[in-house]
Amino acid sequence: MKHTRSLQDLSRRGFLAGTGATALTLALAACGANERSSSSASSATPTKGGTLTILQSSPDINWDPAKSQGMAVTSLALVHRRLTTWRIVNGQEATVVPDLATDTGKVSADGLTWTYTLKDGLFLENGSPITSAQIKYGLERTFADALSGGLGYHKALLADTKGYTGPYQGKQLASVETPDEKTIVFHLAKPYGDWPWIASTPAFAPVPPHDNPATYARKPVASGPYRVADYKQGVSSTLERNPKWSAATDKVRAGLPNSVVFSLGQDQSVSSQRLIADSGADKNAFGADLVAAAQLAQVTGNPAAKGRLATASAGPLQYLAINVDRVTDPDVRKAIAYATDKKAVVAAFGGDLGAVVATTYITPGIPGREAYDLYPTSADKAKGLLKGKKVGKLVLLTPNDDTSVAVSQAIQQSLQKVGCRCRSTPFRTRPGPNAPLRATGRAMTSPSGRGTPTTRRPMPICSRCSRPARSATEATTSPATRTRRWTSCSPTPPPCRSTRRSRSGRPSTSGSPRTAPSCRWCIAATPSCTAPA
Amino acid sequence: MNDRIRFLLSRLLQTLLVLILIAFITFAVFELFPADPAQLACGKPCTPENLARARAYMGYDKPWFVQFWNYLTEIFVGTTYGTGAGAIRCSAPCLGYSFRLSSPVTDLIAARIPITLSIAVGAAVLWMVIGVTGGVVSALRRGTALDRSIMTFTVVGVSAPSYLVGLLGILLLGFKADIVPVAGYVPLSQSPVDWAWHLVLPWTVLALISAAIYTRLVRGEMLENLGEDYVRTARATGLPERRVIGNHVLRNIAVPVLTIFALDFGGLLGGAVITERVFSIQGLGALFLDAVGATDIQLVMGVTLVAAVAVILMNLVADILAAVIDPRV
Repeated sequence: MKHTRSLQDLSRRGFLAGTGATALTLALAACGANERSSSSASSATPTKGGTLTILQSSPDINWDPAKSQGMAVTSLALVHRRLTTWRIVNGQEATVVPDLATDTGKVSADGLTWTYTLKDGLFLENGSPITSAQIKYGLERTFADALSGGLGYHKALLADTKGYTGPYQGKQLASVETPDEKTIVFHLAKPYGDWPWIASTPAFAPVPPHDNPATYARKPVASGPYRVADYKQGVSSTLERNPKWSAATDKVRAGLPNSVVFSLGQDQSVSSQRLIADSGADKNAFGADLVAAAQLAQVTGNPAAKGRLATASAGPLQYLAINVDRVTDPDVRKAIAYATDKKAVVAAFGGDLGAVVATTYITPGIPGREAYDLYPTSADKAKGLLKGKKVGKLVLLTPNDDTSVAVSQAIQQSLQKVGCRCRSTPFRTRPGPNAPLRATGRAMTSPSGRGTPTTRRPMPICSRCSRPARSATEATTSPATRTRRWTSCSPTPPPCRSTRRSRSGRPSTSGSPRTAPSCRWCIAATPSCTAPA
Repeated sequence: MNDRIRFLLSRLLQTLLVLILIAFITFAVFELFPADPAQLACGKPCTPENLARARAYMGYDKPWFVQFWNYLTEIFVGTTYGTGAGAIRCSAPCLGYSFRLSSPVTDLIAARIPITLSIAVGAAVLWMVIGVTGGVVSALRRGTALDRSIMTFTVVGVSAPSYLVGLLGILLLGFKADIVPVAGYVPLSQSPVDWAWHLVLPWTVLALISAAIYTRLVRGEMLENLGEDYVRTARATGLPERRVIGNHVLRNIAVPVLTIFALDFGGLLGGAVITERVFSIQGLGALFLDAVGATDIQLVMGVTLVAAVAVILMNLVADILAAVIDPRV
């Protein structure tokens, strides 16, 4: 969960924002159908007030913390505070910091018990004080079948959760105790040093008991700087100020705009054009989607737009996952690795702004990375390995979006050059949930799309980099933290394999469970990703 | 039994059978689809236990025919997911429940119908006016430069894909000329002017393409009818040309045009998928597209059924209108 980069790495692809997106007080001169502003680009100094517009292609936002997979730096954090959150400062490692709690947690000597104390002066939007019981209830609801679908790492880590189906049948979770209104104690099944990171997931947001799980997503009770004023599925969601939120208790969120409007279901290319045009209300807008590869060229050719392109260095990792049950010969797998033209893959991502070649699981910019390349592109080596082998027709499954299809075509062509027959099959999936793969051919490879479970031996191809520079949270974070924020666009972490350290239950405030060599356990994204024996 | 009642009953029975068949085909497509809808509700990490629980809760652990039967019966009686205080009720008519969007499918569709209706009605009016006028003028001025110009326009209209016309329209009229809004939808109840203003471009894009087809259709029908004996007879009786065309020829071409129109309009009510996406208008088409992408089976089933009902109903209306216009039908 740690996402940290250095300044010099900031040269990669990202998101577009309007010129006023960081300066939210802007005089608008409406003249015409699309509100053109006569004012020039405003200063980058953020001031309080105004409306921030967020253009996103996804038609829905689930404001229920139990159903959300939003990390601490995503939209949900505007409405819901958690026990801990992330502090992200440009050029520094991301750290976990207290949010509702006074610290990131006190761990017992055996590493099995974590205790948190709530800050003073915390209130929900309805005026009631935030209590440890509300956090416990919020956590318990995530076990209810009606509310499954969110980030549930805590379910695997807490003790005695087997058979627990949520609070709606009147049962409580024994492994979470609330000795008083300010204290909450978690009992884990086994020591877990990165528990403070887990406490930053949406499940650790307070929810007042007796909620209706069918409707809570539309009108949640806010603890953050904003409350949900309006939610129209597929159209928009408007956040307005939560008067009960106290900036004094929140060192991460600045809450600058008076309101935040999410324009949902926006066509991605039209959104990009609007942000390039940079007129009217769009001056205070940013795109929540990656800029498509085709439009990156247009943006880079336009100096005004290029200046508003939020870019990042390495971030999420995408890789080609080979089904080793079908491609059983290691030499053939190595040949596929050699044959794949990484430059062509990077070009399909939109060139250097779109991706860089990773060559290892740990992407450039993450501490602990050792640069090596076991399989540099070499058609000759691939041909040599394949000599005399009979390889069946390969099936390349790919998410059905423009970029992924372009990438799969690049891989397909690479493989064909060394004599492999390969068919690319796009299938429609959404980024996020684990996309199931079913092989239809004799052998199957799959470029790992976001969310593709890769329980097989993966081959690092390239790291795709992206981050919302002017994300909802960032635009509202305090000046000290309004810097580059590293948001993984890959909700499913790659299978972890780093496990060098002892089984320490000590708190780790900056270690990434899936990438840093110092961590003991990874977050289990796939069944294969489990703690070593 | 009265012939009309018998006709109506047989049509209703046919409609019901068609709907069940459509529901079954949609269901079968997802059964064969390499995706598990329960995985959407499984959360992260999706352990086998969590997946099994999600499947059981959503009812996907049952055999396919039980799931299908349940879906059909729930339309009439509704259903409840879970028990106790956390139970989620989907009241009849329950077209399913979208666990992804935490909402009954019926509610989601109901929220989108006014949007799709707004697009469809406006576009249909526009294309009928342009199409019929263009076709009649073209037929009456056959062989002239005007006829050739109209026919050239129709070739362009028929062959231009709607996403291209839509994006060009947004670029030229929205970004460059700044005449019309580039995206979004304003409800009619909020501001009728803004409503129409935001829909001008989608209407135009949809109408341009369909108008081209209707121009050709009307022109062809007109030319055929103008050569018929009844037209010659009507002219021979000394009827003015306006009445010959208006009262006789147009009435005769109304039946085939209406039949095609009913199909097109019914289809449009199911959602103008591409147009809605290009103009960022969240109608039924956008809902459907999103549901397919998210393998939200119940939502896909619901939208498909509603779209099918729209087509069938419009056909019924066309049949009735045809009978009114032409008593021989």
